[in-house]
Amino acid sequence: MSKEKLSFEQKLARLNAIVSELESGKLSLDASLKLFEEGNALSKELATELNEAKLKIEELQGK
Amino acid sequence: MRSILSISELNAYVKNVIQRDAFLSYVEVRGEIINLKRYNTAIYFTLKEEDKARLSVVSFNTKAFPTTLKDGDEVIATGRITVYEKSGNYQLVATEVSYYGLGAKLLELAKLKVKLDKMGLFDQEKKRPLPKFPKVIGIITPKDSAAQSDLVTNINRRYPLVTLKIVNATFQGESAPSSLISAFEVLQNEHIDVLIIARGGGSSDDLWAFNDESLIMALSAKKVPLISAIGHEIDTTLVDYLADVRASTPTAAAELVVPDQNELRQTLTDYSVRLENAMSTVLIQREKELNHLIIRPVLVNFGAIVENLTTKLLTLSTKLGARSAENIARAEITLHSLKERLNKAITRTYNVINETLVAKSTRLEALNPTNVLNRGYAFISKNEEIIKSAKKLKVKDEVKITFSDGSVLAEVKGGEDE
Repeated sequence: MSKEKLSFEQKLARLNAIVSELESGKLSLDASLKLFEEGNALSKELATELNEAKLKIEELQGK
Repeated sequence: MRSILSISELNAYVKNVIQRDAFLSYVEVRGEIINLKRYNTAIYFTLKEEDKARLSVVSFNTKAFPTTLKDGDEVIATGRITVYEKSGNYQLVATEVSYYGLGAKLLELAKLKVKLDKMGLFDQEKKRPLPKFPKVIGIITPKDSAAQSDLVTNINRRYPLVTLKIVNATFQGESAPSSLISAFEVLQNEHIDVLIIARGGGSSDDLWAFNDESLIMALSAKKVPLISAIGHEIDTTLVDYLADVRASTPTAAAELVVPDQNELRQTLTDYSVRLENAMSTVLIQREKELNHLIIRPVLVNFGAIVENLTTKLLTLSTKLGARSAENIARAEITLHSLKERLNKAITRTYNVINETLVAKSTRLEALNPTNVLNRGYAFISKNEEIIKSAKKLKVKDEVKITFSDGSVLAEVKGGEDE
């Protein structure tokens, strides 16, 4: 599953899960670091998505 | 015989005749209001039938008089006909005034509502929750309306990560229901996550299109949640009953349909802080474990290395507190390699120590002089220096001979060579 294909909502949910998992403190240093990296990357990605978002408008014709 | 009447006598007579007439004691008259005048105790107006006829109306029952009535409204006035003797005019003393047509329409509407309700179209259990993060929003609004610009502006301000698919429709008049249905069907064939039907506030008298049965039936086939923002607080239309969520204004609809990016940014910041805190906690835990390692005797000599690394870890975790994304990214990389280096260093240290200890103890075992002396050997020293060669000694030199159980002093008497 590619990260690029995840929606904003899915990424936010993943980030939430990562934070909870990391906060559980049950992981090895290695796993913790990996999650920390992934979490920070996600957070950055989401902020970028918000910053770069441009509203798209399509006007359709009724009959 | 001529009977000459005064005007007041005549007017009183006419008044009497009219007041005794059963038909005129209760009439419902339809007409358009003109010259409306309101006073505290009475309301006066004229009812007009095109240019054909007029009728003066007075009502002393001001409470039975809709406050919204105005010149030009078509009404039905109910009451009795009487004569105003002073002017010789007859007039309608109205006990009730109601909108003409509206009454009939409202009755029809009430019946339709009951019918659709029985079909289950308005059931609360059928209301669907709005998606939290919609990707595509369908919008039906009047062309060039304030409703449309309010929606676009507010959605863009809050959450510009969406696509809006807008179809304009006619919202008032005879053609409104079919225009709305057509717009709805266009969007029904599009991939949308939620649908908004919005019109502005303003003069919001004509909401009848939103009570149209064919429109309600068409909308009931909706595949996604519907937000109605018809913009009328007082009257609830059937579309409002059908909608999953009712918004008071287009702006309110925008606030319901998308999250607020400011709140999302705050959430992201909170998550980042929590990530850093959690990571720091993990690092502190590791640090404790390292400290535990340091106090183990085998590592005492190498404590400095570990301590150095620990300090770096600590510094690093402090740096993590500086929330700059770049710093964190850099710190992560450093931390990662540092951790690997640390692991390797510890492993290497253990190995080196083990090897050294094993080698040294073997050699020590072999070299331990006590073992040798026990076997009957002794060694000779002079001035605390062990003498390994006969050439180092001369006749008369005083030497010390050490045995396993003690030492004696001796003097060199002569060499083998001599």
